[in-house]
Amino acid sequence: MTASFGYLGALIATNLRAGFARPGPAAMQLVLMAINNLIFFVVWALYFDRFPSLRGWGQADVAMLYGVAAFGFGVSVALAGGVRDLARTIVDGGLDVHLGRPRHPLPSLLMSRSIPAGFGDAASALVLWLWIGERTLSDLPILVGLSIAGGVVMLSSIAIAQCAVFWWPGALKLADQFWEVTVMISVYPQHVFGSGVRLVLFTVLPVAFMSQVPVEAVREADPLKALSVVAAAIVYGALAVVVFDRGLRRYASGNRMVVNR
Amino acid sequence: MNETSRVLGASTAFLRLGWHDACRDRIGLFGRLLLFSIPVVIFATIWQATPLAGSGHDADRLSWYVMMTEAIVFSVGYVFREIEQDINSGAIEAALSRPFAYVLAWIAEEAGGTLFRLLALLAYGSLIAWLATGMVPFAWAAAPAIVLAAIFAAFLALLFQVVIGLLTAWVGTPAPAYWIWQKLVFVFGGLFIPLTLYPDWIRDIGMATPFAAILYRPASLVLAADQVAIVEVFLWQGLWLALALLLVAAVAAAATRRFLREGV
Repeated sequence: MTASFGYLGALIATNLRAGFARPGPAAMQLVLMAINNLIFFVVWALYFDRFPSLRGWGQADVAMLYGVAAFGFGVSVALAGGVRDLARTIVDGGLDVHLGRPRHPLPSLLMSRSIPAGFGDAASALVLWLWIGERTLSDLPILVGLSIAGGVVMLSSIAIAQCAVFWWPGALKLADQFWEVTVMISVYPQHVFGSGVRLVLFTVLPVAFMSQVPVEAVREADPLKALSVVAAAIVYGALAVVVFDRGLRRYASGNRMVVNR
Repeated sequence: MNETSRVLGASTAFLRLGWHDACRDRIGLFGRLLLFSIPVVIFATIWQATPLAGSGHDADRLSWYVMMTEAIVFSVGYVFREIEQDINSGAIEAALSRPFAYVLAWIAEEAGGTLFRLLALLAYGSLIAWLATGMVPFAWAAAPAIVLAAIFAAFLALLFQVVIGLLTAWVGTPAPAYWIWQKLVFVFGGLFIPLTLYPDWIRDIGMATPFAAILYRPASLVLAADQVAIVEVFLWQGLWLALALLLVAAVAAAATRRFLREGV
């Protein structure tokens, strides 16, 4: 167990060093991503300037939701940005280098790339929670914890979608679009949807666990909802490993000569 | 063959190439239509849940408005990434040696693909908006003007993306510039909320920007498409298209000078 954590820690450290190898551009991406999120939130500020509420939700609630989605997504792609290229790596036969290692290949694949802008997402979440969302510092541990659990759900479901190329290599673009759909839906309040759409958001496309349920858990101080997010992170994480392993049985080597230094 | 007809002929060939490539990419189109449906459904649902009494708008018309703005956004794609890749991979070197301006080739090819995708998105979006609302908010006679305004809007967005892509020559990674530009389009263009629902001072700023010519002005024609409104939309779009073309020409010339002086 300790060795596994040590391995993950080493992967994260190496990944971050690579991501910040050019600190100037990385820092610029980080800052601009934070600004980008805050500019987009202006749309909601304008909405709530005109209309008092959205089915019982105010600006602070939507800010909290946007923050939860941004933090979970941001930390996920900053630490495990390889999920973005997972399908492409599989199709291009790029798994070989990971399969030769004495560990499960999925962590090293996911952590093969860092997207520094993700830390900008996480930074904007702090502004959204503490300033616009009117939360206090004492709320931060639960918000951070649930956002990370939501981020694991996001990472896992995107990884599952990317694994579709094991069976259908032509699904590369669809896998990319699944990523965009997931991110897109997660930043909007989902309580306005009817029961049919909500069922999809809790199962096939588990976006509800990435932002809506964590926010409801904090708003309503509901420990069951908080636990359901953690449970979803475990279930979807395990599912991602199972789907990847099944897909791996169909993988044929890319016969690529790669030299790792 | 004189220079003008040679350029026109080559541009048309690139435009047709882009159109045919977009036609052939069936999985990409399917995914795009699916992806496009999601924000349309989200925003339409939000408008249905919004207390609109006294705002002068109704949820059905606003659903059509959102369908229009999203169709324009989704049709253009991420042209700047293609340009970034060409510059960073060095593929631009080969393009520089061709007897045809590489920027014009990019624009024409992407315009062909964008046109195909826009028409597909508008057809599909109109169908789902009609099924969801049971109404068409404009007179059929206004439909050609609305489609034309959407085409000009998508072309204008494309030109700005080309400028952002060319920034690669200086900054290496233009993505952050794109994120900011995109969010400004969303906010000042009125992606989800028509500018008429904004506070006066922000509405006035938005109206004076190219972002409104990309989203709000063409999409507002589904809310009210009288002749005066149509002419006003085309005049603003014409102005911004002219300025955007000048900007593209200036940035492309500066980028080319940089490539020739310092290499790719």
